[in-house]
Amino acid sequence: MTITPGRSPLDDAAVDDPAHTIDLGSDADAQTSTLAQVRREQRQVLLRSPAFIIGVAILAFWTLSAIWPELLTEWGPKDTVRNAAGDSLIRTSPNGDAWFGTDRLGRDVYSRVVFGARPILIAAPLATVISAFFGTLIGLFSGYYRGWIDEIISRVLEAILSIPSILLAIVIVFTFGPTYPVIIGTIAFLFVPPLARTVRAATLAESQLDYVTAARMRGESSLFIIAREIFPNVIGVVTVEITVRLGYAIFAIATLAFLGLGGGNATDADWGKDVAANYNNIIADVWWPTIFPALAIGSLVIGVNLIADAVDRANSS
Amino acid sequence: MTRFIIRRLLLSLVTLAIILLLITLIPNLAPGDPARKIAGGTASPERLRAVTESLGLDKSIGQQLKDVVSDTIRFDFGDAFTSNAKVTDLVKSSLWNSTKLILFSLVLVLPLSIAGGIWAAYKRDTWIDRVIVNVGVAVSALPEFVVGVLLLALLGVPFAFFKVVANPPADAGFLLQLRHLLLPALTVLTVYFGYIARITRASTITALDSDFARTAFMKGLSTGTVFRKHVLRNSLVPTVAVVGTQLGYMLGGMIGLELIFNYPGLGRLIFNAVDSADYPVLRGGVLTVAIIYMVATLASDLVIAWMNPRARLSLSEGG
Repeated sequence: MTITPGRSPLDDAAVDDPAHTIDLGSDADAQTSTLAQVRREQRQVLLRSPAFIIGVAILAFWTLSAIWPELLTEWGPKDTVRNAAGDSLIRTSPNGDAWFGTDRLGRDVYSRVVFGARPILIAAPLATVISAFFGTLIGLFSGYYRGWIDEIISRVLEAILSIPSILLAIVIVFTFGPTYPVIIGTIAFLFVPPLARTVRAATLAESQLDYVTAARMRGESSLFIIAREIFPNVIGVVTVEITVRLGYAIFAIATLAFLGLGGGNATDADWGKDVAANYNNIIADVWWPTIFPALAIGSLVIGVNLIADAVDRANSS
Repeated sequence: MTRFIIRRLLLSLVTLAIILLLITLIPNLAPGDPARKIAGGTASPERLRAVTESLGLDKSIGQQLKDVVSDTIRFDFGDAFTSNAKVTDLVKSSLWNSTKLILFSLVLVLPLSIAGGIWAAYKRDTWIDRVIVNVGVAVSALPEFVVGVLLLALLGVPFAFFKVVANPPADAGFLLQLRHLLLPALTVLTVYFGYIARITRASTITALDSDFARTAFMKGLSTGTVFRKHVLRNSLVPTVAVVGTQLGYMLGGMIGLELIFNYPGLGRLIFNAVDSADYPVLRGGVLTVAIIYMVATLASDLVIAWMNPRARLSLSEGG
């Protein structure tokens, strides 16, 4: 058991290495608390936070509809809805047969919203995970080694950050063609800089602390220090940044789909595409084919944001 | 300070160089033949050649890079691919429209969100504070087209007062123009309120907790006077800086917003360029936004440095 000196409890929010024990109070001997305790307390703060519970409930609902949409609706996303008498329902407002109404082709808006969860809930997390992997890697090495490579990496990251990412995404997806691999790859690429910057800053701060110097004195390799000493201490920062990025990934992918740069077929159930296809009819008071998919995007973003904020607060509590 | 300004300007030049490099490289890096993808599978050889030319792919990468640099310096991006108009003229007129929209939006957004942030700080840890902060968290990162369609359905359709098309008739008076811009401006307000309010709240709380604020209260000054004369001066700097960095995005990134309200701004120009596969217009529009974004960030960094010597130090040491 070692005590990592000179660190506030706030920093220790991220400790994930059971080899470390942390100092929570001024009296180190009496109040040394184990990592498991800190994590348990943080978990309790998180689980008691109403924002977190609401966020998880929203995310759980959309995850369920992404995995098993048939459970939630009897109509397929491209079926024409028929009522008990067998008539097809075209552009009807919300009613007993079609809860969210039907669109101009008589398709059930509710079913399309339920089925529309799948594309975005695959693409957004995938893009986020890829960018988290590369962003963390670049941030760790850049922040630990510093020097001229770090200088170059930082300048390139800054340049990419200095263009609104949605515009760069449009240029790339436009030239590479709107397919899911391209969209996921583009978002992943564009989210590497913000992640790398955050991880780099955290790594920079960590590598000046005594425990890193101690590890160096012990003669540990740089790779070991980065992977086993520093990385566990920046996990908290990475987690928060990943959740925040997930919200922005949903934002970006929905916006691309809305702009006609979504993957898949034009008729696939997709929230962004459905808003784009129908928003012109709002002024004719046919609001339901637009508003329900728009609310779906909004609720998913809000759910993810609530989780991100709650995790951030729990980490620093 | 001079040292800092020089360093910061050089940094902007490096950023600009990397942006130009990226914009030039993207079509060259695209796998297969991007021209064929953009023109469609059934395009004639002539059309294919035209698209290739519009992407600049008929020249060597070095030549393309040179062209992009000289285009940017002269602010002349050549002719549009789908019309005879000059890209620069298209960009200029739409930029002016976007500027009008954003200026009006800021007139709404700034006072309301700053007031919200100060109020939350003043009522710290009460339900008012919690509502402002949590709603702010929840709605930040909502795509503006989502907010746009919601406001359109909730306000635009039921109330004739709200105009559903942002572009006013040519002979519209000032007030009518504002009425046309009201719904898009309310959308910007919804998207940015929480973000700006949170930053104002955080810096106001820092200022309130500082010694000078405590001293002012101890002297027996009224709350209003302390806020006016001591707290706000210090707490509004970060807010101004943040708004500065967001200007670039507001001017060119609000594509969904301009589409929903059919407003001929920079965002819609970029969308139309994508829609009609007009790469010169797309490149001109995106470069313009990137440059505005860069200048805005530069300006707000300089303002922060001017107001706060500590920030100057940390930046010139290369943080």
